Amino acid sequence: MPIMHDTGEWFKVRPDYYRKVELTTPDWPIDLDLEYMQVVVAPYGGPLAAIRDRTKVGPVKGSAKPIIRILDTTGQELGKILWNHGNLVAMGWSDTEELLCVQENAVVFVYDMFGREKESYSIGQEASVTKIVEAKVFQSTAGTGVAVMTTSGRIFLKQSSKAPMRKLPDIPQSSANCTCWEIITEERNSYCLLGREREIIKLFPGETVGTITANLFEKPTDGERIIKLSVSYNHQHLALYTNKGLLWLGSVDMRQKYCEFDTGRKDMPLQIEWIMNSDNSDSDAVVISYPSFLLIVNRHADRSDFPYDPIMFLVAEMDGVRVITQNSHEMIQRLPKCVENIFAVNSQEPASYLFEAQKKFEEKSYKSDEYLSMCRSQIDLAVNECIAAAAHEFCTETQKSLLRTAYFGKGFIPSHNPDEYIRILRILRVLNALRHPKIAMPLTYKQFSYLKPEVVLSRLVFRKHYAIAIQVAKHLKLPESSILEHWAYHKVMHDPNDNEVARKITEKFKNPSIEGISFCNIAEKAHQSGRDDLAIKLLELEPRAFLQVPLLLKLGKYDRAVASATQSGDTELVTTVLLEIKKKMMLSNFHMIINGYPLALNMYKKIMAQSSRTALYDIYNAMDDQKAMAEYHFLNAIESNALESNLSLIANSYTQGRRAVEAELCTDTGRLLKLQKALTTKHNSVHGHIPFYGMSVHDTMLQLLRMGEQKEAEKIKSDFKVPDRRYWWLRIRTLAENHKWDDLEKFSKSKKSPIGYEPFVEVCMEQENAREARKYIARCREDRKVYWYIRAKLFEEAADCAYEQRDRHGLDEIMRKEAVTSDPSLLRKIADYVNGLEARR
Amino acid sequence: MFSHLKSQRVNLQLLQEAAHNELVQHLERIEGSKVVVLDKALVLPLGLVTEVKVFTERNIKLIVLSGELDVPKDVTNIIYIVRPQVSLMDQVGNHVMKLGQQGRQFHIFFVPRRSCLCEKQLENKGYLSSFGSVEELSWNFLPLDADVVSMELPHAYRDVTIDGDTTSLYQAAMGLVQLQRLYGRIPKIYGKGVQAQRVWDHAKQLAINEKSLYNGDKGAIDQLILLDRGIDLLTPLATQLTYEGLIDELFGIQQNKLMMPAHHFPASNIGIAGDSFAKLLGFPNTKIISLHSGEEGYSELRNKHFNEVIRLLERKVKELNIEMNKYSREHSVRQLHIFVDKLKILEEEKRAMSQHTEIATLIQTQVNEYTFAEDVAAEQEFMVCADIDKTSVYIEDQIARKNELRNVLRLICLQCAAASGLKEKVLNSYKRDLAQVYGLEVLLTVSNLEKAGLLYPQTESRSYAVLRKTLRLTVEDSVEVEPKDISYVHSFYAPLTTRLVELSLKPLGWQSLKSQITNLPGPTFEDFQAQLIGIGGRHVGTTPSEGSLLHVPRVVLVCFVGGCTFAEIAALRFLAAQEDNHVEFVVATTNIINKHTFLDSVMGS
Repeated sequence: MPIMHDTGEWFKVRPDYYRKVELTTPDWPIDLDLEYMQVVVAPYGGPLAAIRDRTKVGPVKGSAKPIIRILDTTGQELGKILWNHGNLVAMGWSDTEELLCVQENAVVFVYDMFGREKESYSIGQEASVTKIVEAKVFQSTAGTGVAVMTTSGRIFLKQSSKAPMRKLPDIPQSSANCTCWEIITEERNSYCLLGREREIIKLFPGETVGTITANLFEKPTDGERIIKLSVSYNHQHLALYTNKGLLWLGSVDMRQKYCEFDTGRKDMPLQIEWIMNSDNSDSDAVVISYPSFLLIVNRHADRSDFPYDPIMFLVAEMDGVRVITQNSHEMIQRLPKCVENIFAVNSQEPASYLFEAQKKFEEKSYKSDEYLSMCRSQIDLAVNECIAAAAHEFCTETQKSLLRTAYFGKGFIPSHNPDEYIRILRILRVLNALRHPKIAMPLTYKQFSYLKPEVVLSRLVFRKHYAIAIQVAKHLKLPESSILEHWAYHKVMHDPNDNEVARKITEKFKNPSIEGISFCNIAEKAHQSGRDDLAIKLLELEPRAFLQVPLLLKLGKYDRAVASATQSGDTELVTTVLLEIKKKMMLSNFHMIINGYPLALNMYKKIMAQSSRTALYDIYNAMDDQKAMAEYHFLNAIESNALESNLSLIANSYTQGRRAVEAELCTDTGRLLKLQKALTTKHNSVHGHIPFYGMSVHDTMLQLLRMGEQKEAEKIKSDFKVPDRRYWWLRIRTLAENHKWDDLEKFSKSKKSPIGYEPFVEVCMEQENAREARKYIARCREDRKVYWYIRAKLFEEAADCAYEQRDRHGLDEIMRKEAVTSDPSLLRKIADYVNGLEARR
Repeated sequence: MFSHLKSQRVNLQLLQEAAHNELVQHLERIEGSKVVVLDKALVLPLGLVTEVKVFTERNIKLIVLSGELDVPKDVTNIIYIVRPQVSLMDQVGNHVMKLGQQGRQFHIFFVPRRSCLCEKQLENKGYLSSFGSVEELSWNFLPLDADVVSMELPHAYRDVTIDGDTTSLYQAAMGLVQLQRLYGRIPKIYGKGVQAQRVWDHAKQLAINEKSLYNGDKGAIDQLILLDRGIDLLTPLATQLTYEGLIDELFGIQQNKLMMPAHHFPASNIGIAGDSFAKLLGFPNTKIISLHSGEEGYSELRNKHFNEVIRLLERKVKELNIEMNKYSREHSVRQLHIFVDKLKILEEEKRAMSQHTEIATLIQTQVNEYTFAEDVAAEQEFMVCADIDKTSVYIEDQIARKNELRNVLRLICLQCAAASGLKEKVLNSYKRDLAQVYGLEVLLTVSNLEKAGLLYPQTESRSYAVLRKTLRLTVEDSVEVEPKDISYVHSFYAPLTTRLVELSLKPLGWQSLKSQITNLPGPTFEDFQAQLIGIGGRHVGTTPSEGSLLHVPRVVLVCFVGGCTFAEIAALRFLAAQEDNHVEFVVATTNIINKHTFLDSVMGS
């Protein structure tokens, strides 16, 4: 019904509509004549590779060596491969857009789309020796595989470059007369179908012999031979073509025949490809190309044909077939139902009415309402179809009008969820950008959805379309970091100016909205391409030390690695660096480096303290840390029980480390130990063996006093300048311990006590002698008396004393004591005191 | 799982659940039957984030790591959960050697980070290949209570100051980032001290790539105050006089668990906290008491001065008595029913009260010791800077009596802290005394104290003496019961750290504080983490304006780098309880310390 849409490119193969979509007209290089070329094209609007076809006679131009030219769909040359290997048997594209070239000796060379060789591998020894006659590149679940047929008629295949080589069973009877073959992938297996005479032979890996299917044709004429077979993109359907022009369509297992169709043509077809239709496999069809003629036959044996350029190449896509000729590029596909519903003549579908309504609305015509009323009840459906149809359109004008219609229509739906609308809008913008001749990736909506945006992005990046890739990523809200990283790799590989590269990269990366960029990955790339200076520059930009440090180590920049690790404060990282560089450096250099970084030094000391004491000593020595050395010797001496022999060493180190007191104490200890030895021998006879050796000055004196050797104790006191106070403590304690109360009293009166008399009370009480204690309490400071009386449990005295001192608080405390509360007379006395004090106030 | 961690603003249950889930995920990734071998140092910390039930439900046996390992024959996986200690690896290696042949797989989970040294140790002996997985459980901060998280690193202060090993600082920084991930960006940061500054520098560096942190609005925490233990070494050396502080000092609280000889408690009460990790450590005749805010009565008592606790307990017991007898004359069945229900609660309360009266009695006997009072008196002399520049007679007498070395050293360090350094002569005199009495080896210990910054010669600055006045660190008319000032936690001394926090709460507090604390060691710093408005960082929703938030108390995260005491926490809780302050605190610390544990850690070699 709508006139504006160009339905002229529609054609009908009953019962379905198909359409031809014109894609950007290719502008082939002037010296490229497809007529004399063998061409393989990558699906999903990928690049194509062309090489002179040796079977066709044509004018020889340029070099005699074969050249493989790689072009994009608009004819822009991407790369060239000067083929200087052996005989090239076949070419094909992998699913990651790599060109596989199979040589006569079964070696496969892999190139990227710019003609750079990536790798090569062989399909087995046997195929290599016997030489191959034909090869097929096919898609398997493991990736892209290669199958070869040797001169002896054997078939070998590899499902991917990494997969093991498989030999298919021998062809039953003879391998002669086989005219055509194809590889089919079924779940995880790939097998071969061979056409011979009127039968198909299936070679399944693992089976000993191939199975033959004959009697496929209903009424074969004499001498009828299968000359071509074609498998659909999804490996579900099979098409056979005989020398008499008979076409057989059926399922790939040959159990189901769709139709037999007599093309009535006697000339050889060039290519047969299936047009797939994922919605409805019943309407699948095949496209057969003949020189200057294109024939389309569907499963219902209906046909449609077109005259065409003399030379054309068919490319099977997941949702159609592309036809590439010298001066056109078209896509033949089943007309999407939604498009048909809107634009078909006399369509009664709601979407069609809605479209019309919108148009009338723009024309400000009242008819808009009439059309609207016709689709009002199904407006949801109409809007959805418009959105879907827009997705399938290539023409931007049509896209716009369809989306405008959807926009118009959704206004009539309360609470319409606009997600799908927005999604399609975003994707269409991306698709249109991809279809632009500069990018030359004509993808359909379906292909785009199947590939996933991430893959499309990576393909863009690989083609170095960084700017558009970033835009696409932003538009689809995908992370941009990987694109930028790839761009940076590119810069690192191709820009020779270190400073410039570093500057450009930082400029691009400083945008705060970009997350997860790793300068280290780029630096690693720089390192790999031998540009260590650049790598270091880039590393300096990396804020995360744990990423930076390993690479610095790899680059041999130990000093920087230590600096960076210590600066981060991550002790784990510091430890890693230390362990790593210690292995690689001279010890003296190592010491020098870590000396500049206190954290590294400390961590190293800590590690060594646990594992290697001598290393610890080395480092103290290197740092001239005399005090640490003294302590090191000290600790060793204690552990090996050899303090005496090491004391001078320790003292010496202490002195050098300006620790005079420590040194002095060491020397003293040396003297003490000598003395102790003498004491032990001296007193052996009287007191038995007494282990003086190793005791402290204090304990030695205590021991002597306990033994009653007061003279000797006093000698030590003066020799080692033991303060009076401490000596007094020792004396009174030993006296009390030995219950020499008279001596204690005498001692207390020998001169004024330097420690006062409270210690006397204390030692008496330790021996639980309150009677003696009382004597000394009397000599204590007045303000301490009450306290000591209470401690000595002399409550009566305490109370008296407290009363004397008018110490109300003291009296209260006494009253609370258990011993007092159970003594009524005392309690009464204290109460009187309290009252007395109260009264006096 | 742990209801006592729940709170409104910064709900630490989230932290606990995150840690718990991490553990469960790692466990479930390992197929087959398993046993878990626990580092002794992790047994109780594990109890802070998960329950024994988690293991028993999965039929996982728990064993404490020791030299000999008794593993059931049919177990195919042996999982170690350990701190990254090289010394443990030898034991692990032995197990691998003995048990590895029977087709067993080993796994090791490091808490909180894997360590290349440990792995290397295993690798050198050829054991690393027996390990199916080497993972880390990034438990930096463990939730102790609804307002306290701790790294449970007992030697953090020591490692940093004595060994120069700053692992704990980096870990604290990671922990702060982790907390911000859970509770959102902290807009304001104040701090004092070298190590505190380091922690913050690292945390900032680590958060560079955490874009999401800076894109959103500010989180639940309004402010972070980072305090270096090094600025206040007097507080951890002083005797704490709060209930909780005393329990910790006298009996030791480990990860909320108090272990007491069972004979102090009536038999009927044993087994209350029976199903806990503490049981794994296998102390016979020990009563394990849980001490946290979820325990009946404890939250009311813990932060009070001990003198007040006794009164509170008396009152409580009286009230309880009245309550329990109140309804005894009621007759109607309904009322009886209500009463019986209430009785259950009362019984529970009664049980708690009897427990606490028992603990309080035990504390009381120790506090009543003359030595306790004398020590406290000596400490208090130092706190008011009395005769601070001379050798202390009290200390000399302690040495002369050859009393416990740890306590002697503590008092010397305390004097040093109060005097802001000891006079050369005084220090040397102490050294001589110590060496003559305790033997020459004491010099090594003293050297550790010197490295730890606890003993040092005096310089010009008298920071403590000055700050005591300017910041009112000692309060003349302090009261212990129903106090008005934080100084009650040490009877009349207010911990410097908490005083700083208190003063910073005032309007322009930190700004005016800055000039007052220049004489404390280390830098004074502040920072601001603004929202990053970049591409795509558009505002979602509207931010409530500052004004409308005024009625909500602000939340301040106080992070002690090097440990804090229960008294300090009590002081902060006291501040939060004052309505005028309008503040809630969350405390983060490397560990809870007290005078004993702190000294033990720095003295050890």
